[in-house]
Amino acid sequence: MTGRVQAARILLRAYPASWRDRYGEELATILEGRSLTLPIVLDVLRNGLLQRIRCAEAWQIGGIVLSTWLVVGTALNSVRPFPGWAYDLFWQFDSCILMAIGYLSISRDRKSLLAAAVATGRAALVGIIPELVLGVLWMAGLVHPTILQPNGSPMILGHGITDLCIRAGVAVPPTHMLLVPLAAAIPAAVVGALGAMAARFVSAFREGLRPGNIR
Amino acid sequence: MARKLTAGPFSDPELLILASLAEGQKHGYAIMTDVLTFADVELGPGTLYSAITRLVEMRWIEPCQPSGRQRPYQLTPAGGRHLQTQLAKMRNLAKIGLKRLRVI
Repeated sequence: MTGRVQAARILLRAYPASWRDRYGEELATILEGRSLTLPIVLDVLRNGLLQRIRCAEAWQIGGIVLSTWLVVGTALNSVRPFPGWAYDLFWQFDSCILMAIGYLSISRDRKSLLAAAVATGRAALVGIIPELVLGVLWMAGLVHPTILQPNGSPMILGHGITDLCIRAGVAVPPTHMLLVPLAAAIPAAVVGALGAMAARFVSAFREGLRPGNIR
Repeated sequence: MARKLTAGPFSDPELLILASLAEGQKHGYAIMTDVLTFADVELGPGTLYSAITRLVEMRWIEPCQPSGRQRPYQLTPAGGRHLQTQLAKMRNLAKIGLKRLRVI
């Protein structure tokens, strides 16, 4: 295999497998026939990423958005602790993302109501990965406990249930810090189901507005 | 020197591909070279195939029988109508713009 053919194969990995099955051979032929300059490499990588987003299901994109949101929140809160209203706003926005995942699972991915709720739960599980990593680091003694504690701590890791425990003054041992966020997938699925029902409602409303359906 | 895809009417890769296929069926590489010739725009391979993917999904173009590793594409009747509408709008815009500039 020549270097150019090999480079084209590597570049094609930027695209999702389903897309590669359909268009990969054609794109590879073009890439193999020309020198791969930086603008061409960037063009292929950028479009590969866009195709991955287009081909991804709502829960996959939502999971990445949720985990990014958590990392950004943790980083900001580490620099300067959130006041109460900002903390509440942070988790309310998290719920909005969950609802959007449920909504898109119906409107974009054409899932059933139950599948949309399960998809939102899966997204929540992806979204708590940074939280779990911090929990593991805490248990390993690599992160100071205050990072996971309220009241003057840099970060109050909550994700719903944990947050309620902390607010109620219940001691949360490190193992619970790992298990409790996992249980947050259940309320996440409920929020996702609400979003899915909203999508059904909007769809029915639009259907009713069609000229042929107005009496 | 070929222009990169930036702004203006030539910034729409879908329209450039439809205009290229209006002449007859072509595969990806032939579309790229044709667009470079008639519009002086260099379509990146990634941009070209993202646009082809969208056009196939919208059923404005359709794949023909593959020849070797390449697969030619052709305009569908719906694609032809869309291209005609867009070009008519562009012609109208060009006419009004040139008139206001007192060029015509």
